[in-house]
Amino acid sequence: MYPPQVDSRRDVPEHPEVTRYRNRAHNTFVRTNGAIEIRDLGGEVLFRKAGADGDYVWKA
Amino acid sequence: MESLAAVQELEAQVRRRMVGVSFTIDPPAASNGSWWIDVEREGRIASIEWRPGRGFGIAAPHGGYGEGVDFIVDDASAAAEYVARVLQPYSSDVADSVLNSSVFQQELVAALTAHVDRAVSEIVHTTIEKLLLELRKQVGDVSADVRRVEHELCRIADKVLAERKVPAQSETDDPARRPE
Repeated sequence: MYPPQVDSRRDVPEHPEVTRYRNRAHNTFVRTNGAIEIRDLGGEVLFRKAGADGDYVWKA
Repeated sequence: MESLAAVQELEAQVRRRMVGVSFTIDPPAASNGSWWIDVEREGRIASIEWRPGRGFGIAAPHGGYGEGVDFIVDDASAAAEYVARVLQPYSSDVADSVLNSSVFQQELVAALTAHVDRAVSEIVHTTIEKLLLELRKQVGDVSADVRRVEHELCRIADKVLAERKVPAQSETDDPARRPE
């Protein structure tokens, strides 16, 4: 089992404060405020946690 | 191999093996990062990771979070072969659906009926041939009586075979005798 790796990092268009990490069957999004969101390849949100300021990855 | 060329080679190899697939190519931010190629077919996804300098990592569907690839192969052809196998419909499902198809069942009944008809016809005609052979041995081949008997036996055989098909048809029409 691997945590998000540097070599799997991707930029997210129009969201420079968010980084996407791709692995086998999931995408992990991390915002600069520390918010985390994990989605499967179909886009379904499996987990999300707000950052230090209370905002989620997409602020919504 | 250069990354984009490797990914394109993989796509070509997969498309050579199967139709109806769609590709989602997910390139990395850094040039030395890993590419992910998701191949979808009828709702199933096989994911392949291309790592420069390491090869193709193969991942079967439904992997857990954080799991790595199942194994790594060097060339696109081997990776494509595995993808094709993963995305093929399960053979048992295909067999079940074919066996449960009413069209298939009708074709099977028709084929078996034709086979039985041919077998019965061969038995009847073989029996007649044996009877005629025995008769010729006893009275000679050129006898008018033998020819008359031969004609009569053939007529009886045709009648027996024709009558056999009538009850066979009525049996299939009788709901109580239909197979479940």
